[in-house]
Amino acid sequence: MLEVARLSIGFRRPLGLWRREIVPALRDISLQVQAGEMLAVIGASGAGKSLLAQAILGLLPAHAVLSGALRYRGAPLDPAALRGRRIALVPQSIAWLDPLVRTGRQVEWAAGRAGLPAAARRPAATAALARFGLGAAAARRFPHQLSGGMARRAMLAMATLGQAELLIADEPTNGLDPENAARVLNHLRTLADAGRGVLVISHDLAAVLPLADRVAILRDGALQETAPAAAFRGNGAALASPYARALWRALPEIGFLPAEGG
Amino acid sequence: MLVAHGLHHGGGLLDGVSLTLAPGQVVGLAGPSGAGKTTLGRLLAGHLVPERGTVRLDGVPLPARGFCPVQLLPQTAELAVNPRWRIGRILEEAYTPGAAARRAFGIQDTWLRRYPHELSGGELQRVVILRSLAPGLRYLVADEISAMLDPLTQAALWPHLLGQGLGILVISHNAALLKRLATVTWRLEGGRLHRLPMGDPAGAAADREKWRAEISERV
Repeated sequence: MLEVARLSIGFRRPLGLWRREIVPALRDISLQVQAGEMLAVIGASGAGKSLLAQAILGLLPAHAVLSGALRYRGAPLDPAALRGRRIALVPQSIAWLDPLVRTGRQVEWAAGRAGLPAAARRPAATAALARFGLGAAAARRFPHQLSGGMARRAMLAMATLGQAELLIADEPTNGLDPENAARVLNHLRTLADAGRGVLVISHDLAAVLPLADRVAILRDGALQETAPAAAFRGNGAALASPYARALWRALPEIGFLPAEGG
Repeated sequence: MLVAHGLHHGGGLLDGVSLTLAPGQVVGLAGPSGAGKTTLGRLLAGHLVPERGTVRLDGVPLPARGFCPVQLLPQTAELAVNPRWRIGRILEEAYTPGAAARRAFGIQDTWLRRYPHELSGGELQRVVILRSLAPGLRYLVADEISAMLDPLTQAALWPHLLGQGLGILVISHNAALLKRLATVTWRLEGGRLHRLPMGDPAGAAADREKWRAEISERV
């Protein structure tokens, strides 16, 4: 469905008065997301996870330099044409919602962006919110009146009410307690099982492992490996890269061990 | 000994909470979102004054001025620093951490000239932690300080904190983390504390000892 081939991203920065240098941020990333699959991209802060999402959605800042290829269903990816229609983003925080507009109204806007006619927007919004356990009371609230978990589910409703076949969720569990985190991830899993492609970006390996099909490990802008989620077991011997093994062994559930040498 | 007795706060949010933290003891605090964990942490560190009840350190109230021997490490490091100060100045707010201490927390010299927004959340979190470890510090309230960190950064951070010999209240949603760190874990729900049963206390203690031994070889 989505194919990222040898993607590199750098940032142009002035060097002295006339010269410019390019600071690399992502190097030579290749990965695919299939329909019906949940791929997790895991990395520490600063590894370049969000840049990857921004590149797919065409939201990179103007001074970014991109090389490599992005393809969607075999054709070159045109983010402006697909964004919000075929590819939807579940953003990281409620900062992406309009603070002065009631939640239900914003979901109706999303229905409009997804191409629904005006008369169909309100029922579609109500149904989408209901799918994620949000009723009329939640729809009447402003974003800051929602709890973190409710806001995340409202954004999931916005991202999924159209025909988007590929969902990109940026840190969907950040700031949520375990029950709400599991609920959001389970929703994403259900969407994958219904045939959509789901790309989850997260720093929380333990939370995504039970639900993801494959896990791509990103470090300092480079892909360390893409492993089936089942490879994260035992002492990590099934993992190819030392970094992925170290990440696995650092989980409190496993070894809680920092990297060798501190 | 840090003793909170009969705390009532927030119109029933905390409805008679008593908690004791001994020197060097690590206690866990779990509970659903909105149960009042952060409020309890802020009361213990003297950031809030309880509507009823007392917080006493070795039998006396927390000092109203000067450096408080109970420090709160907040969930969001960004909100605990002055955005207009450089990292170097932020670090020296209460004392001057040496170069060795900075190294131990992985704080690079190049950061000292930067502003808070020029560091990642995890990097700034380490700055805020080192800032709190001033001479005279005896207790820490660590409110979800590693939830936003990747597993490796998290696993590197805790041994350093435990190595300070402080009494620590670890507030976390992560049951596995609490099992690793705490000898006692409480769950705050319905305004009251409930002691969480330890499945196998002797086994958990042995696991912690083994882990500490393994860690001390590495750091």
